[in-house]
Amino acid sequence: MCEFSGKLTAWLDHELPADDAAGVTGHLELCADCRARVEAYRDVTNAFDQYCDAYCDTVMEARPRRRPRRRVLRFWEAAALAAAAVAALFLLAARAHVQLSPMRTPAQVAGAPKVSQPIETADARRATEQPIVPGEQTGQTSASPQTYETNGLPIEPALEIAIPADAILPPGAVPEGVSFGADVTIAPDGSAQQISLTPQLTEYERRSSQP
Amino acid sequence: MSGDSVPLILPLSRCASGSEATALYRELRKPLLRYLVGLGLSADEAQDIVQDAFLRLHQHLASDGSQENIRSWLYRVAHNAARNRQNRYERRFAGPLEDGLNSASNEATPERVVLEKEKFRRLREAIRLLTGAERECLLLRAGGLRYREIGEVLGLSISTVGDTVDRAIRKLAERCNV
Repeated sequence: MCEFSGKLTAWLDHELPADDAAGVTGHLELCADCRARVEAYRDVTNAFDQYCDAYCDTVMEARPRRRPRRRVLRFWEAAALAAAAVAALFLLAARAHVQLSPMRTPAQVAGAPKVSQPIETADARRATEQPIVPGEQTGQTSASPQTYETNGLPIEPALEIAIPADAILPPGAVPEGVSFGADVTIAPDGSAQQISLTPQLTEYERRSSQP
Repeated sequence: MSGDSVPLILPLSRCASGSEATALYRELRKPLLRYLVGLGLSADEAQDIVQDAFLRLHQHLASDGSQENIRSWLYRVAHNAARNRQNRYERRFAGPLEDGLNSASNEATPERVVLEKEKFRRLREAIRLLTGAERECLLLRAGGLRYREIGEVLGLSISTVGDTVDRAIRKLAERCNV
């Protein structure tokens, strides 16, 4: 290694005093090794520059973008959202116990959340009722709601939750007078077999029936 | 490279002008960002520091501060702010300049993409071997700062900067063989 090797980077960066720079320039004309080193230093300097640029671009491009502005749901999107919410509520209720009753109109369902009348438990029924005779079962069940035990768990009072459409959907998403009726078919094991949602024009029907 | 750049020394009359301050911002914003990102800061942190540095520059000039060596003054402010953040969040900056990156441009041929990736891979390995001071010196040199300005930013003498840069370039050249 020659005496000028320690000055090559500074020479490349134009950082040497004029005298020293002239000495290195003269030496480079004679020394092939130093010329090769200078070329290698120049190449690695350019590569480092490119690397810094590419790294900076990568980091700047990878920065998280701003959140998109909230947009108002379209009617069918809001309806799908409402259907999913209702279905989830029904599934939650069905896991604990099942009460099948005739489908009510949306007008009956709408309103503030309420707790239904407690249904009689199996133990209470055994204490107060006569033993059920297989042939007589049909007539009794049509008059009162059917109750089932699920998975051997004790039956607790059923909780019926009615959620007005305005509480779930953004204002104006559902036209006035439109609500949804949910028809849920529950399997004996407590799982939901089928859920169907029907939009209904309750207010419209009520108004049109008025004189 | 840095040898071709001209030290940025702005006369008082130029810096007092709003348009010149804007030009200064346009000229130095990207190199400052590149330096800070190279130190390991996130994009948002680098943006914050650059913005803060230019705000302080405005206050500095408004209070009749020195007009000379504005570039090294800005780099020093940004460097100190980055150091403070790195001390605060040390674990997050485990490996500056070592993450993966998009190397090739869209117009590059597949062969060139492969070569460039290989070149960057070797360079990344070599950068890992640099000390913190060597890395900082190289980053500032890549930003076009002269040895004197690098010394002002890092608090080193010119001869120390020269030795550090020379040592770092040798390490990279030996490892990369570019």
